[in-house]
Amino acid sequence: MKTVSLALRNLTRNKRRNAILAIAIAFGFFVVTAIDGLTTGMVGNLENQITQLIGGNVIAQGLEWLNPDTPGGKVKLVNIVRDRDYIKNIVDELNIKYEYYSCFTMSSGNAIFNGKKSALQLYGRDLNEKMLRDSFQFTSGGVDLDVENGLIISDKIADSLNVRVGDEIIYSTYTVYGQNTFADMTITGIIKSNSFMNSMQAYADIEDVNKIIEMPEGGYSMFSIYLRDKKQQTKAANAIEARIRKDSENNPEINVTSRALAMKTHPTNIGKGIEKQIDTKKPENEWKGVKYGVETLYDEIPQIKTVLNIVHIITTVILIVILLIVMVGVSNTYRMVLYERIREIGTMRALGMTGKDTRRVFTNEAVILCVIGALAGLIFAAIVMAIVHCIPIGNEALSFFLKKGHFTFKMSVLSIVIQYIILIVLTSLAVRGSAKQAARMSPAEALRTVK
Amino acid sequence: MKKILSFIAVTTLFVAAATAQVSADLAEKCFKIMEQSREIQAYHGDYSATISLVVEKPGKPKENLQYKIFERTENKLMTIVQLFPEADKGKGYLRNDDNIWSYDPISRKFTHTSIKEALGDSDVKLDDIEQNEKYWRENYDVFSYEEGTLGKYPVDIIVLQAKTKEPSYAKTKYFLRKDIPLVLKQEDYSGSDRLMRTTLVPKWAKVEVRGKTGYVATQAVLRDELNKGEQTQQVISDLTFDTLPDKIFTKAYLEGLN
Repeated sequence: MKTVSLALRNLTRNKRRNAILAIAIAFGFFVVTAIDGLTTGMVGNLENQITQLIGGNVIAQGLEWLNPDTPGGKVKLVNIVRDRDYIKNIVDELNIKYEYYSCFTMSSGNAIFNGKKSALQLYGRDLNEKMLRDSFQFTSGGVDLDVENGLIISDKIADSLNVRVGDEIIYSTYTVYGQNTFADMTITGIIKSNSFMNSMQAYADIEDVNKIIEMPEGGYSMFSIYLRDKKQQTKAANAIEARIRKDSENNPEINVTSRALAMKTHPTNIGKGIEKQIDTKKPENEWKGVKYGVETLYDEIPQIKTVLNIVHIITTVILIVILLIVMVGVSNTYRMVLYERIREIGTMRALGMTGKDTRRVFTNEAVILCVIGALAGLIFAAIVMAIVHCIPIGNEALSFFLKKGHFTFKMSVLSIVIQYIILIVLTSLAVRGSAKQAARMSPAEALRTVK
Repeated sequence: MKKILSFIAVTTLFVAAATAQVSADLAEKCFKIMEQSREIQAYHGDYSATISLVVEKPGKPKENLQYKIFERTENKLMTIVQLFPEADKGKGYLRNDDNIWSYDPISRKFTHTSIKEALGDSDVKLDDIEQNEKYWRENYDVFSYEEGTLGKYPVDIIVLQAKTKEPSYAKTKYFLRKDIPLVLKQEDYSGSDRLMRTTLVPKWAKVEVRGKTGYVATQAVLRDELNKGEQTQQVISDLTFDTLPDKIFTKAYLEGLN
């Protein structure tokens, strides 16, 4: 305890030098925290946008194997789930904790109006869903279930087509069987889009979309779950898959793909592995009824996980490099401190201070200085991040990485704790030489030294 | 009164159904015309050609594209090399049955895709290029037949209705020359009978291929009827029917060009 108070007292002795050293450490910690927070936030936003685009982080879709009508024809996979409640009941039965779930019919196509064309990702949803309604930020119009083929589009699409609420557009798309089709749709609402990805999203009543793409009544193409804890996605997907497999043992009309097999065949891209299990070129893959494929966001886009890992590796490397530079400064400073305090060390040793205690005073002093500097850097980074977060970013190219047009920063307590541990370890190593030298010093020799 | 109304409704339905389908003889005649139209085309065996495309979209400047195409129809092998614009020169596509590899000369990498994905949003549909000799009979019913004129040509007008899920459109109307069964115009309709796409083939060239006379469409216009003003004009030149070396249909060939 005494060594800590001595270390603290020593820190107040050469204030200017210690302050400069603390600022250097603070700056290093600020850079690392800010980069880590920014990149993690950006990747997180990208992940959230993709999650939003595909509706959740666990997805179950149903596929039907459709043999060709003619001898020369090709097998088709048709994305249809006829039983609307099946997956929902399983999710409830397994007590999976989710923010929300949705079952929807998805269709890709083009909106055409007065010679202008824009790609759309149309989601047929139950427009009475509260969660969905709450997520809409209407700039004009709204949900109007009385209008047949009513369409809700983003402000960006509305601008590109030059349409307003009440205008009728042509939606050109494909049926579930792949035939070209179209529908006249009326714009009932225009919503604010925050990014390039959700600007393409459009919404209509699920029954209207089913009719347009010739989906059987009551059917849908995808069931998605937005989990409360996204780290649980693999566990949830495996549980749902296992539960469907149990049903498939008694019902030959229910089938399910295997994530375990996909992991074996395609360890780095499970989505690809699952795709191979439904490859229509292999007649042995044929099934009767529906085949459910349960996937996670990371199965579908494994690159996200890779990017996240790369970001963490890069920030850790930057942290270590910056800290090493700072530690060279700390090490040099404490060599000077040792030289300056050589007579004082001699006096303390003569008065009975042990070598061990002398070493502790040195180490504690450096560690306290570094921790204070790092704390200042952390506070400074938090302030800068809060300011940057408030600045609206209008750059379209960055929209993938933004949340509602703003940078967001994500700081993980664990990574900050790890950064502090690295800092303390490196500081102890940096002053080890000086501290050891001070501990080994003979009191008589130290007192004899003339500066 | 109710009975009379029901009778009228049922009779109307029967009459409509009867008029929607032509007689078996006429249907046979129509299928034969369609099969002949395919048979007289010269695209059999190996050929190569230069394809120039002019893509017009409303409110946008015309886009010119040029490709060199090599095809071996029997084996469903095809190699396409982009010649123009200069920025995309050297981009290539290699087709082997249902698989397509697109080649990027800058990264020198191949990306695999399916033919359906590769056609994507273009005006060309899968069944425009995927037709066997029984395609018409297996996938369509003859909905109607009439005679008429198109420009200066007397034509057979055949409307085919899809009976399977293979065709890209629910209904297609063909205008074929009476003297030589060449398709001069094709109209594709949705299930609700709305015109979705028109293909015009104003120019056909007569060519001699391995001792046999055949015809080649040297100019075609694909018009998107849902988006007025959007069309793709296609001109074929430098057509040859020489046997192509096998190496052309390899990845190494595309890599070697750059």
